[in-house]
Amino acid sequence: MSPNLTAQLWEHNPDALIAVGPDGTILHWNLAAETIFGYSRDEAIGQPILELIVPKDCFEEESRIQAEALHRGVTVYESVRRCKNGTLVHVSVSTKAVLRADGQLEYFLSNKKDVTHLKVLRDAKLVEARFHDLLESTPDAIVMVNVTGRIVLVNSQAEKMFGHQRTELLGQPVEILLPNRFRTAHLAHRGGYFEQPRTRTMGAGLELYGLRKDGDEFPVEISLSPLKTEEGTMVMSAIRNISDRKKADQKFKDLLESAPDAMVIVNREGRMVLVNTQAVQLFGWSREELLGQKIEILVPERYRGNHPDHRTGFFSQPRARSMGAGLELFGLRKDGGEFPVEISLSPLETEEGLFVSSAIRDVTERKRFEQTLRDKNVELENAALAKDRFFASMSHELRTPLNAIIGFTGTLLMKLPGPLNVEQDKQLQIVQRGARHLLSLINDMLDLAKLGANKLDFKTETIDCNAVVDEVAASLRPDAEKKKLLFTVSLPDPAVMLNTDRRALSQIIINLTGNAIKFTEQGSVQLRLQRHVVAGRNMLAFSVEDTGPGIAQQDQPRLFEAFSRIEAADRRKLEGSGLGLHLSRKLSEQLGGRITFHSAIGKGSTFTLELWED
Amino acid sequence: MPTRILIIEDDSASRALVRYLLEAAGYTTLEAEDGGAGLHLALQTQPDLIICDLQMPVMNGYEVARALREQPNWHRVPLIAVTAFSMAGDRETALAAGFDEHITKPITPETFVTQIEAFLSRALQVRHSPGH
Repeated sequence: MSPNLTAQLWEHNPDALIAVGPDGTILHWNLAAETIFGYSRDEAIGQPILELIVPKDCFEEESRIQAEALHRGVTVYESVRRCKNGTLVHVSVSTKAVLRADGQLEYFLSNKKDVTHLKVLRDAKLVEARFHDLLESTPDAIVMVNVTGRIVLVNSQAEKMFGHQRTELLGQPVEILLPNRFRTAHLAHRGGYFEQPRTRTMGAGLELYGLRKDGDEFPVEISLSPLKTEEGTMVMSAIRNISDRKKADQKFKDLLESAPDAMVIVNREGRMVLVNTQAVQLFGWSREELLGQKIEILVPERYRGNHPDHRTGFFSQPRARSMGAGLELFGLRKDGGEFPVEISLSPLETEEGLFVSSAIRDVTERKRFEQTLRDKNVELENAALAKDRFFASMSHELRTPLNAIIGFTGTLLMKLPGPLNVEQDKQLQIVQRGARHLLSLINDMLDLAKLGANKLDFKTETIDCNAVVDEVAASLRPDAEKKKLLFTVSLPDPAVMLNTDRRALSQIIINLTGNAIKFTEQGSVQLRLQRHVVAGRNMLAFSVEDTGPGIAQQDQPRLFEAFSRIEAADRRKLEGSGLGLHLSRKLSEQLGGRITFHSAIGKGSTFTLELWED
Repeated sequence: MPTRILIIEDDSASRALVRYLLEAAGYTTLEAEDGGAGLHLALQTQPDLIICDLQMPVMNGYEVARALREQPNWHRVPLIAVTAFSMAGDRETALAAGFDEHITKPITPETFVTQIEAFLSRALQVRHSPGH
């Protein structure tokens, strides 16, 4: 055989042919070795074989086998080797110790056959037989791989989840179930896992995705557990599709974002686990700065001391409530600025335990508004007080000079200083009427002003209406008799008792009766109190009927307006303020009643105060 | 001894009116132009009845009433407020301060003396009653 042919045989041997010197460095590396392990000849030759392709846990085995080869000449075994990309392959190895003429070792020659797929089939058979029933009964999708990362078992939940048939998956690298972008990184992680196999969650804190046969991706959560068998360690992955939970999480986040208030979710340790954009804007910290921080960084220094205790208190009795009811609360911004807040707390049960959700509202604007409102109120109260004082002073100041005018007019008319002639008497009476008019004007004006300011004190008590009418009649009878009018009073028997304000009632009847006497030159004024039933309710009617000139149709609509006194032919006869009917109507409304009238020119007038009895 | 009535009033026209009405009815009057002088005169002269304005300089009517009511043996002297205070509650305030009656200005000259005499006769009856 020519050396050339020998070299070709060496090169084209379907199995990896590797020669290793006594010091463990690689001397020869054929094409198949390049293909199986991924290292080129240049990368491999001169390197220590142990470091290049032997997993750590096989070091011991490797040296034992070399010793056996030295002893026996040739040894055959199965083992695992690591490829350049970090994955492991199953190999069937024959190793021969080649000796020099002096009997010393020249090199080891190894023939390594990649039997990964055969091993997978074997493993598949093994785990299928042993674990099938168990794994079918778990709710999670289960995918089991052997040390080479090839799938050796899938349960039907996994078939459903990934949309693959079992037969399509068996023997495939597990990366077939991952989106492309994760595959390379996964190969390296997979190798690492076998070096330190323990039960754990995969990719803690990372977002993991599964890939369906149809190309769809879905978020997953994966737990890994090693499973020791006589065929080596297998890894069982339990895979959970968390699309729904992700959606729920997203919805919750959306909900937080859509809340009008700043929302901060805090865990039992008082650390922020979720904040919305409003919170970021309100406090001036970025989301990243806030998450994981103690909630107390948002509380002004002087309130921080007690806050953790309050927090613990809340967790021991979690219920929705507002924070620090009745207290002034403040928030602290990143820039050190403080602002008044209102905070509602509610417990939030989650899979990760109990959280507190706090809604924080900046009430700066509202506080400012409230303060303005308070200031305005004080201002208004002061104004009202000033107005009251003004009324009282005005009343006082107007009455004092009137006292002298009415008083001395009276003494003169009483002829105390001496007799008067007819003209003096007449003129003094005009002065007296004018002065009394002025007095009633002052009284009515003050009442109206107080009514407008809701300052008239109404005292509701049970009063005898007959007695009120009698008193009014007694005080006005002299005026009627002076004018030679027939003045009659008719009252029901027994007397009517009513819950109302005596002064207001009396004032209305005085006004109506006084008007009737004033405007009637001859005939009668009849004062009546009657009971009616209107719509099933008892109504009291205080009516005053006169035989005066009556009120023209066109004047009637303005009758109750202030100073709308109807021009009579003889103006000299007019007395009163022109406020009487206006005031009476307002008073009647305060008593829950009204004043009605009917009148016609030449037929006299009847005014009626109607009050509900019940 | 004639019945003496003290008029404490700062408005001279009002004072003149009351004086005129009382003297026309046959009473002797004493006058003071402010509360302080009025109180002094009252204690000095022991009048049978006092007519007193409320709003006055130096000492107002309420203070005069309270001071007098604190004196021994002064509780039976009728004390009548004649005042232009006519707002709601003014009457109650006056009575609470120790006045027996509250007459609003303008007074009614035709009935004023009669109103006063009602209190005077009551006081005189007490004074002349046996055992006093």
